[in-house]
This record gives sequence, C-alpha cells and structure tokens, in this order.
Amino acid sequence: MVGQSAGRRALTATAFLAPSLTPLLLFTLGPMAASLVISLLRWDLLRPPQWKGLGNYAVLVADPDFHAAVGHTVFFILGYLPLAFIGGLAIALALNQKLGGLSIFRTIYFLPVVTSWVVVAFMWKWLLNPSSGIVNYALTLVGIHGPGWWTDPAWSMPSVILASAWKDLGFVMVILLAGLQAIPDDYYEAAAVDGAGRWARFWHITLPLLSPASFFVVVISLINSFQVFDQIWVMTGGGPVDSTSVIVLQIVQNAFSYGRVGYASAMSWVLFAAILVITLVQLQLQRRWVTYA
Amino acid sequence: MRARSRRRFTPQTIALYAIALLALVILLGPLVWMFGTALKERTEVFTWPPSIFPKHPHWDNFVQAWTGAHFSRYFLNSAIVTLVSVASNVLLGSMAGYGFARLRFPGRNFLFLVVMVTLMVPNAVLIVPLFLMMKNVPFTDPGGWLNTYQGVILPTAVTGFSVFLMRQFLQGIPQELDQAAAVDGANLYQVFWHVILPLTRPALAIIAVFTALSRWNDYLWPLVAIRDPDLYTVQIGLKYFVGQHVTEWNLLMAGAVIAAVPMLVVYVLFQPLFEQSLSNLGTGLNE
Repeated sequence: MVGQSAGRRALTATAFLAPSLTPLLLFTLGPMAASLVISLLRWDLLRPPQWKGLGNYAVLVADPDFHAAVGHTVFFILGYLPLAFIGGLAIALALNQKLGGLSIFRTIYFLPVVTSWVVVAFMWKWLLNPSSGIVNYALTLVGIHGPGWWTDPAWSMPSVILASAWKDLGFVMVILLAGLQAIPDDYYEAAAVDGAGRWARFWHITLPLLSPASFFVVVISLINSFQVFDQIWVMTGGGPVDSTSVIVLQIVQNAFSYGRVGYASAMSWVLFAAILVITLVQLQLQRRWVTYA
Repeated sequence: MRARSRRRFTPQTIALYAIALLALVILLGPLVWMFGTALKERTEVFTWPPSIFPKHPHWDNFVQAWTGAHFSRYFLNSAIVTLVSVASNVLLGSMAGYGFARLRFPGRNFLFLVVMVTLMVPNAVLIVPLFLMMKNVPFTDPGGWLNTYQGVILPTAVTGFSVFLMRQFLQGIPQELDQAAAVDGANLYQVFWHVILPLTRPALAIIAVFTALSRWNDYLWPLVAIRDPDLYTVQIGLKYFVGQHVTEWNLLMAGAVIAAVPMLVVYVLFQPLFEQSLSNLGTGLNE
C-alpha cells in the first residue's frame, strides 16, 4: 500500500468500486438519462418513436388530469404529514418520560413500519369496509353513521391518509424520540429554576431543540409522500372517479396502460424536479427554524 | 425511590400513560383485527355486530391461503429475490464503501457524488426505461428479462444507500487499525476481508436488514417487471384473493399475515439495530 504507483492504485480502486458502480451506472444513471430523452418523444412502444421536443411538457402544463393528480398528491401530503407528525410527536413525548413498562410499547409501535404497504393497504381496506368494517361499527356505537370510506370520492383520500399515517407513526416516533433524548436535562432544570412552567419549557426548549429531528422527518416524509403509490394502487386504484389519482399513479397508467411512454417520462421528470426544488427550499429555510444545540 | 413513587400519580403521568395506551390500541388494534379476520369462516366475516375473534378459530385458513393461492410459490420467489439482494448489497456495497473511505484515487469525490445522485432519483423516473431495457436484453427470448429473477433483482443488486452507509461507517473508524495490518504485510484484499469486514459488522447488519425490508416489501418494480404468476412475489400475489366481484377477506387477511410475518420476525430479532440506526440518522443530520 505504501509507495504504490498511481497506476496500481487506480487498478485497486477499480477492483473495489467497479462491481458497484457498473450496476449503478447501468440500472440507475443510464435509465435516468434514457428517461430524460424518452420524455422528449412521442412513443407508444408499437410504432417507432417520434421527436416531440418539449411538446410533452407543454401538454403537461395544460393537462387537467395532471393538474388533478398534483392536487390529489398535495391533498394527500396536507393530510398525511400533520397527522403522522403530531401523532408521532405525542407518542415520542409520552415514551420520553421513562415511565415503567413502556419498552414493549415501543416495539409494538414500530410493527406497522416493517409491514409492507400492500399488507397495510389491504388491512385498512378491510378496517374501513363501509358495511362490515370495524371502524364503521365502532362509529355506530357513538351514534355516528360512518361514511363509505374508499367507496366514496369524498372519503377515499382521507382513507388513504389514515392508512398511511398509521403505518408511519412508529417511524416518526423513533426519530423524534432520539431527538428528545439528545436534549440535556440541565436545560430543563435551569429553566425550572428560572420559573418557566411546563408549557414554556415545551415551547422554548423542547420544540426548538427537537427541530433538527423534526427537520429530518419533514424532509424524508415529503420526499416519500410526493411519490405515494403502493397503498393507493391497492386501496382504490386511483378511484372512485379518479379521486385518489396521484402523480405516480398517472405515470404508471400512462406508461403501461395508455401507451404514452414519452408523456409518462415527462411527468416523472416534473415530479423529480418538484422533489428536488422542495428539498432545496427546505435546506434553505432550515436556517430560519432549525436550532442546532 | 420516594420521588419516583410520588411522580407516578401526577396528572401528567396519567395523561402520558393514557396517550401511550391509546397509541397502543390504534397501532396494534388493526393488526389484531387482521389476524382475527384471518381465523374466521367465510360467512362469519360479514356478521354484524362484528367480533374480533371467531368462536371457533379456523387455522386451516392459513393452510388454504398457503396452498390454494400458490402462495408457497410467491413466498419462495420473494425469498430468492430478498436473499440474493441482501448478499449482493452486503458484498458489493461494503467493497465500494471501503474503496470510497480508504483508497485514494483520481475522481473519488466525483464518483461519490454520482453515488449520492442515485440515492435521490424517484423510482417513477426509472421504471419506464428499466422496463424497456429488461424487455430488450439482447440474445434472450422475446420479453427479455421481464418475468425473470434477474430482471427483478438487478436494478437494486447494489444501491447507493448500501455504498453510502458503509462509507460513512468506515469514516468513523480510525485508519490506524487497517494500516497496521498493511504494515504487517497484508495486501488490500486481505485487509478488507480480515480487518475491515469484521470491524464493520454493525454496518453490514444494517445494510442486510434494510435491504431485506425494502426488497421483501417492494411493490412498484415487481408490479412492472412481472406478469407471469409463477414469478409473483408475495406482495403482488396477494391480489389473488381479490376477486372480480367477491373478495375472500378471511383468506386475504391470512395471506397478508403470512406476507407480513418474515419482516416482523426480522424486526424483532434486530430491533436494537433498527432503532439505533434510525436514531443516528435523525440526530446525526447536523454533522
């Protein structure tokens, strides 16, 4: 190793890196580039592709279906993110008090996280079954006639949101709990000495010092929820009457059902760009609200 | 001790226990309901008011789901895809991670940036070109590598995540250890095999567990790459129980339980590893 020639060093590096970089090049970077090119074509996979330039993107901008997909995706995020975050935070705060007998709780809270979206979606479809599901039964006990959930266009997205937040509560909880445990006790003691009450300590110590963990949760959740697909495909297939037709669902349908491969690729690049921009904006904004101890 | 027992009865403590219990009901309840349904008879599923567990559990639903729906075949397919992916990610990811963390060569930073880019691409961008690529692998039958194990496995045979994780882990380990071995006359391959791999066992375990989880639970790519029912993974195969008009909820839930069990077991076995690695992610972001 010592005194190796540059040529030998390059050769060793190749031996270690090529087995990984080759597949990453072939199956990620190559397809990325290909997808960008395909997004400039009109192509139904049957006839030879035609050059369309930025035509697909122009169509996209004016396509009411795509606007609806963006709207549904945003609806999903606005419902899912606060629910998962506030729920996860409440559980993390409870677990952070080192009460007796809670470690088994923590194990159980995490079980939905390791269960697949497909299983979670089927399970919730059954829980929210309008006529035989246990949720609507529980609602009748308190005198509420439950909605049609995934069969009702007004309730289909809330159904998906419920299932999704349920699955991710444990993930949010684990991250935020780690953040809470990293806050030194001295801070609370000092504040208590200064006469700060419970709420004051929560607002002025816990929330600010939890902000790095919260930031992480928000960034990751947003990246994932823009790409929401599995649970919707299983629970509603995008319906009823397209009420849950999100962006990735339309990409899959355009590419594999409607024979609009170029258009689907253009859509996927708009999605990618949106995720990048939103992530970058968050990185910029973090200076405003994220406090690093 | 006295302080502790006094604390136990404050309204705040009671409220926190209430939150913890409520969360337990919300998070465990649906899983219990799924399991209870899996034990019911076909007609019992729709009785009103619903019961959580049937009077006479039908354990044979699991047998029926396992055999009737070719679920054993789907299970085998998922196991093959998952195990091969775990092996390749652990081996290739650790080699590349070692290369990035320890070897000096021109273009290192640029290549690592390339790896980071692969981490950010949404799957939705990749599925169309990957589908076309797998369909047109040269010198194969029509249909190429669609409907094959290699077609499902290859796109994630090694992920940027595995490489990144190993590199980060190695950067936290002092170089003196492997340099000492090199001074003793070991070549780089021996250092990697006898020094680095044993040292990085926690990182290898994290790569293995996360790969297993994401491959076993994967949906979008297998959905696109597989049409042949003989090659369905469990996640794709679950739809077998959903009929055009009638869904056999009891068998579907039995199948769902079977599909969920392997990763629940992996989780319970590796629980400390999961929580530690996630915690590190959440709190280590500021470094």
